[in-house]
Amino acid sequence: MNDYTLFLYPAAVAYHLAAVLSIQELIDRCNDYSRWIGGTILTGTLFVTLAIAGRWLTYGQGPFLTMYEVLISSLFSLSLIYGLAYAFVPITRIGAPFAAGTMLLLFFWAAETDPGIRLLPPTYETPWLWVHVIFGKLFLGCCLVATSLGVWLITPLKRFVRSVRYMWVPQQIERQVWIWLSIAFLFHSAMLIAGAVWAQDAWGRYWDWDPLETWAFITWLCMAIALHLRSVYHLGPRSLSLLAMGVFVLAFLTFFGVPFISINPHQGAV
Amino acid sequence: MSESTMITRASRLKPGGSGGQRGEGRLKWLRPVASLRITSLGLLLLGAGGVVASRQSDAGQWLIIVSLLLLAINLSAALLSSPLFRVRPALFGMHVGLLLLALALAYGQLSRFRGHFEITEGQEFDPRQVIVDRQAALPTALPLEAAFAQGAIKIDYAPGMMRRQTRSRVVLANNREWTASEGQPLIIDDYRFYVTHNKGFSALISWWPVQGGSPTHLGSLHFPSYPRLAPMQTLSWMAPDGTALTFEIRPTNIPQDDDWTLSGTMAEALLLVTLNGLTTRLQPGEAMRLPGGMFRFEGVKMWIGYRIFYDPSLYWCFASALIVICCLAVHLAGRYLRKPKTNITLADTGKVTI
Ligand code: HEM
Repeated sequence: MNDYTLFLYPAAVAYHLAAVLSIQELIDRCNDYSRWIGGTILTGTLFVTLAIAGRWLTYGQGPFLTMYEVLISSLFSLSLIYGLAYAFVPITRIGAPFAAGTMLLLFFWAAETDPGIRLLPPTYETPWLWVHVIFGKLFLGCCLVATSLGVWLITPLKRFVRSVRYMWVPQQIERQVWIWLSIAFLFHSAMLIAGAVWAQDAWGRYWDWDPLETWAFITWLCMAIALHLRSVYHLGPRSLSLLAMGVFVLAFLTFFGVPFISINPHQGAV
Repeated sequence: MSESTMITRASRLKPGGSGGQRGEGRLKWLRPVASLRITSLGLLLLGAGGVVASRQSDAGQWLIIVSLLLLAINLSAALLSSPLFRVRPALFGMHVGLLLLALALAYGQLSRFRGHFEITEGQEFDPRQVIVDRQAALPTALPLEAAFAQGAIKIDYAPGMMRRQTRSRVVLANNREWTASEGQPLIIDDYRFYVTHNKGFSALISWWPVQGGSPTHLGSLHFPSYPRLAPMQTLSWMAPDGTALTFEIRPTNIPQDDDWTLSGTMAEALLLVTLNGLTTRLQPGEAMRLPGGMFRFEGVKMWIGYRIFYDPSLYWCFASALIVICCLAVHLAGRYLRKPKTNITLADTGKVTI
């Protein structure tokens, strides 16, 4: 085991704690654990940052290529974005159990994945890599926040909530889901544009309908259709929740599934 | 005002108010064409087109064209007739950007040209050598002959035959130098020349007819791609007099555990020529006599393959995409960053105003 991977374990402990405390917080009428939950998530982020920095220093290249790298860098960005949302937008706190669960899932997945290194292809030496990746991570982070709120809209566990701090009017939650989905859409659009510019320089085509591009486009279209249908039909909490989850699942598959199982992967991944 | 109230009010705007609204009244007949249901249908069709296109089917391209046409008509109608776009200028700007993007993409489809060619160090670009992969529907003219001369080609490798950076130096017609590499194409008159990983050695040969006179410069003979086909560095050549010859070169061994650079100097400057089962070794400058003339081996160089891509709509696409993104950001900021009312009141419709 490499030294830097050791930092991932305290991060996992922090996410476990965040998950447990966030459930406790919902059913506990009196105590306010939000500082602890926010603190543990951000502590987890700090340890993942150390793990990534350690790997970066060891190999001299960023976490952009292998499944392991994509998993740990997403763990970093998701926990940072969710942690900040948790700290500054109180309504997003009801999504903490789902968000912490997602981070644990990424951790266990990364722990099962080969951490071996592959040299970055020369086409990765471009500032567009950064623009593309940063917008991609921002998109997934906003999706996570929207979904963690969306899940809340239909979860039967709401009945067990005792804490008054979590008794939000459903319409407030719905509005938040739309806000986070709309911001996710903005970031996704920026990610697609940066990716197209990069692909044009790297491979001489800005779009080629390879599996990753196709699935990213479908995710984007789903959001565009939802944003339009919203004005035609009133999407109830159930549909909205399913929509947010659907977009998240699509995005999750696009990020962590398609490039690694497809026989004809995105050229960037080889 | 809540978003839902604003939408309802905007869509209830009646002609007769401001000048803009009067215009919208006249264009009321466009409203059914501008329906958001058609938008959703168009977007669904576009997605279906993408999925079919990803399976390399032509039907997908047609589905994409039809859905983009439908969306363009639907969007134009909405831009002209929707009162909502009057009250939300950023949303209007974003959709105008989308329409421009669709137009730019259509222009790109009509004007896109693709081709490929191989060139040897020291040679000048010759448009006649270009093999066309996709001819543009609109007329295009390849850059002039001798638009650039190929300079030194170097490709770095890491241990384990991992290809790193390709550096292909070229000298442009105005004597400016440029290094084309992965991610950094050479651009001449909107034509983009991309280096490919197809490259290898070539033998330079000149031919002297038996009657004497000046030599006919035959140029270069490209050996199979290297190092992909390293063990097969032979080629067959039919001399102008009809004699069949086999040429072989012997590149130096590839280092297994070190970084190394592939360049013309990696092949020994030696040509093995086999004629009727008899092999002769030629050094640069040495010649071999054949029944109909004589050929001279001039040396070993590198060749490299390029892909050419021409699409004058690229900058327009990028500019319209930027308009879309910026306007969307302004629209969302206006919509959601407005300070929400502190009190939450239930409207009599049962909906909540936030
Ligand atoms: C790929 C194409 C399209 C994309 C990505 C897109 C994107 C968007 C976005 C992000 C919004 C803002 C929604 C919000 O504020 O929550 C919107 C609203 C709108 N779009 Fe589009 N749009 C597209 C095509 C069209 C077309 C073809 C029409 C033609 C009718 C259209 C008409 C509208 C209208 C009327 C609204 C306002 C909806 C409302 O808030 O009530 N859009 N669109």
